[in-house]
Amino acid sequence: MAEKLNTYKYLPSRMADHLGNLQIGVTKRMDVGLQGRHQSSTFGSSVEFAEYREYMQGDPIERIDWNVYARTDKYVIRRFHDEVNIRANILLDTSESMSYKNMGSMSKMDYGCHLAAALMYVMVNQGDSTNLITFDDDLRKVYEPAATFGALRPLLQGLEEIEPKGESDLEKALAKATEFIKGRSLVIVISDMLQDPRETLKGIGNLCYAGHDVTVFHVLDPAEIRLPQEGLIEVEFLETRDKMNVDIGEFRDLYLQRIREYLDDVRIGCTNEGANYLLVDTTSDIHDTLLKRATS
Amino acid sequence: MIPGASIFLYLLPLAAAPVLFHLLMRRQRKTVLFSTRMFFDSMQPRLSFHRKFREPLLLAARTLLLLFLLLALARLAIPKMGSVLGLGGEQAVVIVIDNSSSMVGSVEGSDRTKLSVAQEGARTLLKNMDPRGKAAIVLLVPEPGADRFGGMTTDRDSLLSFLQAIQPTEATGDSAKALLRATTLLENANSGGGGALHVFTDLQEAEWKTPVLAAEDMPGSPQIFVHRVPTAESTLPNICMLRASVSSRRILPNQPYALEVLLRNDGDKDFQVRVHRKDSENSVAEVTNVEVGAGSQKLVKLPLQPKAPGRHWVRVWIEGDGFEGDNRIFVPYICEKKGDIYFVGDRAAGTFGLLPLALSPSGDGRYTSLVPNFLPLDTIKSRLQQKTPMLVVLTWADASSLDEGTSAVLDQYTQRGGNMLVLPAVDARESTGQAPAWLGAKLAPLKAVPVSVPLRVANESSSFWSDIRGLDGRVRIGTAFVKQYFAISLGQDAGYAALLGANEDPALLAIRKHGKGQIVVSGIAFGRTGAWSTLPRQKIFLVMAQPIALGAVANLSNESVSIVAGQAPRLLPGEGDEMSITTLLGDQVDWSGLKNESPILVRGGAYIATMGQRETCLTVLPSELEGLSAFVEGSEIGALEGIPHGVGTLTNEDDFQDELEQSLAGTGFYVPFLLLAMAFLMAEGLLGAPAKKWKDRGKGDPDNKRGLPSTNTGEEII
Repeated sequence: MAEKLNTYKYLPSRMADHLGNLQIGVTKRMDVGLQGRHQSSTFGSSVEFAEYREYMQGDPIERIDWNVYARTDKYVIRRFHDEVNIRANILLDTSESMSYKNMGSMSKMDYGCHLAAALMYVMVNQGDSTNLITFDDDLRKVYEPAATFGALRPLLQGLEEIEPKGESDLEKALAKATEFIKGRSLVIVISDMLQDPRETLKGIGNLCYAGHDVTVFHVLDPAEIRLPQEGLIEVEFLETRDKMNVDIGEFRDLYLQRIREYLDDVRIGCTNEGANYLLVDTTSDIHDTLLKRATS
Repeated sequence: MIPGASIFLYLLPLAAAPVLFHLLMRRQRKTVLFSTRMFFDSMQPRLSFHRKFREPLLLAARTLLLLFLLLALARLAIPKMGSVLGLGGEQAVVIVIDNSSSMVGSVEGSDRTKLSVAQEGARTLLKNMDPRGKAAIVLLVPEPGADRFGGMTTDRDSLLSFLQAIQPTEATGDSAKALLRATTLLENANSGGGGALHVFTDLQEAEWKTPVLAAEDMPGSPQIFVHRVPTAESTLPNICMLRASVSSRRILPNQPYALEVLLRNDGDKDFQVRVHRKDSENSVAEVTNVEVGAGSQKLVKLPLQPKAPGRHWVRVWIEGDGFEGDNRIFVPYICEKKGDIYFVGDRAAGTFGLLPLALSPSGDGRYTSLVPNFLPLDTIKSRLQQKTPMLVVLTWADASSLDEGTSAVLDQYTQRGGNMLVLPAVDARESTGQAPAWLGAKLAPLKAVPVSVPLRVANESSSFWSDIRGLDGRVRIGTAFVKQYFAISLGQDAGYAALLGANEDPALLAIRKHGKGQIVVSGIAFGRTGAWSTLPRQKIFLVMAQPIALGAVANLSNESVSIVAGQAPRLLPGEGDEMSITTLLGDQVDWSGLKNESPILVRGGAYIATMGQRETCLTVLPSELEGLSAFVEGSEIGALEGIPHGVGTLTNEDDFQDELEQSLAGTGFYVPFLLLAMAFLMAEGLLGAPAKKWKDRGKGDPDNKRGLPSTNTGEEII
């Protein structure tokens, strides 16, 4: 399998080898699916005790807890949580701003693709299914879910075909995704989220209210956070292509204060909505990023 | 300039290198891509006004940095100014010292006098001269004692000692004459190396404002440097003593006189000063407080009563005003011995009424120094030839009966300065015959009025009335009436001035000058009964009798002449060409020689000028211009209009010494240019490194203090 994966741009075999031990779980109970390792919101036949309930007519007799009957002279049955596998819906931002690259070794788009590929591999590797949805100001492409490595191939190839363009609108795109994704599942948003945090958080909130276990990978280039340039420069903006003369030396402090406020807003907003928020920069190692998610 | 350093001048175009780099860098200004403008829009990071000009300022700072660095390395310097100042080599220097009265004022910012500062400045200049150079000192107010330094000399010691001996005068200087004397000296010095003229003065407008010289009037074209000694502003107005004089009459012992002092207030507010008077017979000074109105004059009369005959002086000075140079006057006068009065007639007959008593109450001159003598008419000729009396009194009747010889003697007596009174005898009832022609007057028939008529004063401005005239200029003789009189017919060419009149008759008493003496004619007798007039019984008659006896218009009255300091007494009256000057008080000038060569008197003093047998009292007054507080400001001096000159300020000799040393050594620009280069280096540094960046660096490690969220790796982003 490793040799096959080695042919993919965003999932080289070395990375796949490192990801083999990772497992990504969810904190919320997922809807019923195939038998798996994740707790379901329904009762089933797993070994995890859930509750006692008084016996009712129609219940299987073998579920009566005779030890309790012996002590209390009452018929009660024991109930256990059901364990299911889950589907990870990976929402990848493909807007123009994701093509930005300055201090990192790759653009935010490339990093996002690496991250999406790794996530999809981990999910399939742990027996869950995954699918990929690209968006900018709307949902652009929805891939078929994959639960096997073979089915994962089109998704990995699709990542290589992504060309960043357009302006992003997370509120609108995530609202569409909320409607599109049925049931409760793991939703992973990979985006630079460069728009008004209030609009971004509305989209995140919609996903959370729909019962999804939402994880947000906020991908930024270190240059966007540190603004390392010096002196008088002409700045050209990717999404609008307009230009502006800026004295970075005089502007930096104010910029850093604003971006700090922005990041705080996004982080606190996501936490309040119940999403798992992770800020990553494009110099971060993919494995480390996933490990952080896996252990959170 | 240091040899070899000039190569840096050829490198000056390198200063334009920053401009070149700037243009190149300007083309290469990089465009940076950025993901979003959401932060830029919210913060409007437009270029500030400072930022817009930062690059041009940086460019200018860098260009100037290089420029001044290259100029410093080129070791540019102003060449030595010693040759321009006339201090180098065998050059000549003429120093003009303002020794006018205004130089006794204080210099600005110091208690020293301006003259002392000027002296020290000149001393500094002389000490900085090349030993081979010639020098001379010219005084703005020439002093007789300065003649021995009339030429150029290399003898510094004598020049310095002369400089030390210069004293302030009380005169106003003549800048044109002083400059001509100075430039002539320079021209004649023939120094070859050129020369310079240094003027040390306070530039008082009275001396330096009016253009007096043209460039073509100046011999040669010397360098002229004016060293202005600034004047301290006085808070007090100046009270100037314009004049002080004693009575113009003959002065006799024990007679009361008035010493008249004329003061002028140059300020713009009323001011009170103390007027001191001290004379040769009283060692204790008397003080009088006098208030003088703003911008006006005031005549002060001080009592004077000499006790002994001889030469006397009075010293008058004031205290308390803002300028001391015009605060004193020395007044000389000659007090004569007791004078005889010849009454032609018999004492017992009472011909002259109360007149003898009025002239000499005791009859022996004890109170008035006038001794009456009654002589028969036939002896008057011989007595006049033996002794010259103060006054000859005779009746109209005697005047009409004079023989030719006696008439000629009387004529000569008055011509030479004697005084004569012709009046009717108390018992006269008819007009007399023909009086001598030289008398110039004759009597009309006796006129008797039924009711007494008042006497009226005529010619109030006549000096006859000077002792009676009030401060308002009016002459008041009280209620004097006349009952009978002879109207006097005055000759048209005789030059009489009527003194008293009544009714339609203008002249009952008249006075004229006759040669050097005076003649008084009266149409009324001075009997004690009042049959003629009530005037003799009034006190005013005693006062009127004095100018009749002592002379009111006569030339031979107490002769005194005043000149202003800075003038020579060459126009004094007297016989012969010889003159001698004797000092009674003040600046010591004892001189004799030809009158035309008499010295200029530059300070106040009381002198007796003798020419032949004639002695004249000479008062030297301080110049009234020296107390004026107007001084030439700026560098344009009217007296030097059209003549190239430089003006500097001299407040103390130490600064002047530094300036001279700099001029002699030349001025290098290495340090100033280097400092400028360093200044622009600092400016470049400040402009090149934004202030905020410096602030950040000053905080040490600020990254941990920004509270930025950490990335997935746990590291803070910034």
